[in-house]
Amino acid sequence: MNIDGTLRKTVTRTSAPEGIAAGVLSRLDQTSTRQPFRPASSMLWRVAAAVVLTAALAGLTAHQVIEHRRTEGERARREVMTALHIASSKMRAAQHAIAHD
Amino acid sequence: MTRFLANLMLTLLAAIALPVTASAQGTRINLDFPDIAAKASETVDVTLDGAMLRLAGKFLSNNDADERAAKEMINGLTGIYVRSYEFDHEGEYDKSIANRIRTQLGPTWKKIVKVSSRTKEDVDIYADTRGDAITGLLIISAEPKEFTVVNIIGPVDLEKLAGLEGQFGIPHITRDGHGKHGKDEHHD
Repeated sequence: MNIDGTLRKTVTRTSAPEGIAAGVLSRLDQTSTRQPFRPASSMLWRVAAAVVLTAALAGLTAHQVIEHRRTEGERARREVMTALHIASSKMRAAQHAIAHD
Repeated sequence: MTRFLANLMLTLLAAIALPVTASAQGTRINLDFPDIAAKASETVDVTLDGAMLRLAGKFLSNNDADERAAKEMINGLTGIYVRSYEFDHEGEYDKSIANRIRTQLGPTWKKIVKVSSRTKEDVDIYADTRGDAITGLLIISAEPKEFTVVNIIGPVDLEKLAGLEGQFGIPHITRDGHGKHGKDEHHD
């Protein structure tokens, strides 16, 4: 077959096979009923909500841990000051008594 | 076989080293006597192990002179334990409690101060000594209406400890009995 014949065959207008339009339309209908948009979106919302909730819980827990540690640290600081105050005063009382002997 | 011998050697070394390390840190004395605590009208109970002391160190300010001095003092310590009991009336506690504490002291503990008074307070100070180093301190103070015991574990600088009182805004006692206030001139 020469190139002229190929070109002519290619550009010659032909009719579509019978029933192709109805087939395409029915497949479109099927696609739209099988994969609705809404469920996919709902799943995304659920995942997003779970992520936000997890992040909030993690933040709250971290805050509580930090707060607990701060409270413990403050208590330890006060107790150190009390303990050293008592120890030091007893040491000095002994020194004072010895100095007056 | 070589591996087994190496493991055996390491285990033996650990078994020897651990008690030595522990004893070099000084020992904690049992200061808990529920019978005396039950009779007291006021109680001070301080229990600070190494972890709590390190935590306290992070919260002690470098800008405040008292706290800076305390921070230096606790550096290297592995424990501070204080029990102080105040009573409404004289003779309300069993004075033999001091002996119950003394009996716990091992041979490395030396009495460094003993103050006896019929009317004021009796103070005994013991130091846990390893060579020239003091690795622990025990203070027993018995007054007619108050009993206090302090156990410090770790290297203690006695001069520094005695000097803290003046730093904490409490008057240094001078020879004539008059108070000389510490740096802040404030009263607690």
